[in-house]
Amino acid sequence: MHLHTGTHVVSMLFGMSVNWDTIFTTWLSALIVFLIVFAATRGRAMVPSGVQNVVEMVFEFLFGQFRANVGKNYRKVSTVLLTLFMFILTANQIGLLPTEHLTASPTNDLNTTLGLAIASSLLIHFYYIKNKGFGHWIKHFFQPIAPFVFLNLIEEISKPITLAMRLFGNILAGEILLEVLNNLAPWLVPIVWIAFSLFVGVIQAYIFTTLVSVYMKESV
Amino acid sequence: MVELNGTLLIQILNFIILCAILGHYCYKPIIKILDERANRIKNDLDSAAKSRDDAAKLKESYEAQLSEAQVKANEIVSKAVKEAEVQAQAQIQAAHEAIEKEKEAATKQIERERKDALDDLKSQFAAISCDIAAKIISTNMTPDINDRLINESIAKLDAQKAGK
Repeated sequence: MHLHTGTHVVSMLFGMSVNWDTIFTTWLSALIVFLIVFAATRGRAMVPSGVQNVVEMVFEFLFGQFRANVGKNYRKVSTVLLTLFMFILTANQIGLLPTEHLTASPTNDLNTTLGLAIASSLLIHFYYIKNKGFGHWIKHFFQPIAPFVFLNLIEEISKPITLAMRLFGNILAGEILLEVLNNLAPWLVPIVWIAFSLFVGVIQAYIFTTLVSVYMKESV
Repeated sequence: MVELNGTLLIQILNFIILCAILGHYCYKPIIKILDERANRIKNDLDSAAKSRDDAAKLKESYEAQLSEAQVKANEIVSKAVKEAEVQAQAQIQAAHEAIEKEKEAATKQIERERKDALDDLKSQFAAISCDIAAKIISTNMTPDINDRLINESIAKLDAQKAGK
């Protein structure tokens, strides 16, 4: 049995190979996120309804989590955290659409998850320097004593890697299993697995965002 | 299946651009409306608390006024009762005095009538006595003698009355 999941449409761009199916679904996810959130901003009703109500409910829940994890200055990093959650949530669910391999989740590609994790890591350090200064940023690698710099560097490198691997592994495994189940038992079983994958997609988006918000605590 | 390539760089850029676009066009209006709503709810709650305090103060003031009015009403009622009692007492006193006067007047009148009757009786008694005496002694008596005898009898009767 040949599995389609995990294979990519690759072509060269500026001397680098690029997975265009991943890029396409990333843009699609980004567009969906933009449309949903943009639609929610159109009403601006004091008493919300429809999509505005749903989006505000999600945002208020996330703000509560960010406030608990990041602290009272969570608003400084809320753009990054909200975008992470909304994008990963949408990206995880896109792979579950019945489109004959046209829309695999962009998060089943390590390039996407590592890209998100590295971008988050860069932003964590950017906010650290912006809010506390370059001196403090350098100094925090040598805490509590200078030799700990090696452990701290390993930690800083391992954070994005673990974030990326967790999300990538969960989503890729879910989609591979969905394809396998679809081949083995095309009736009913995949539907149950899709329902479970929907849940996993939400949980993974929440875990990724929550961990990044915990890492951001030192930066604000 | 697992290969890092140029997609990684594009995804990093994609994410940062998406953050910038969503942050500028989408999150700001939503966060603004959330803050406005939170402020409005806070203001409403503050205003409701103030209104509740005002209402409590007003209620307290009304209760004080009500109790003051009740005290005044009680004072007015008790004053009216006292005045009525005094008036009734005065009327009773006046009635008693009127009765006493009537009684005194009646007593005087009775006394006067009794005296008149007694005087009348005395005159008649003396006249009758004289007539009887005259008939008995068959003596011719002049009217002067008759009057003198009568007056003497009356004087005797008065003296007897004074003597008792």
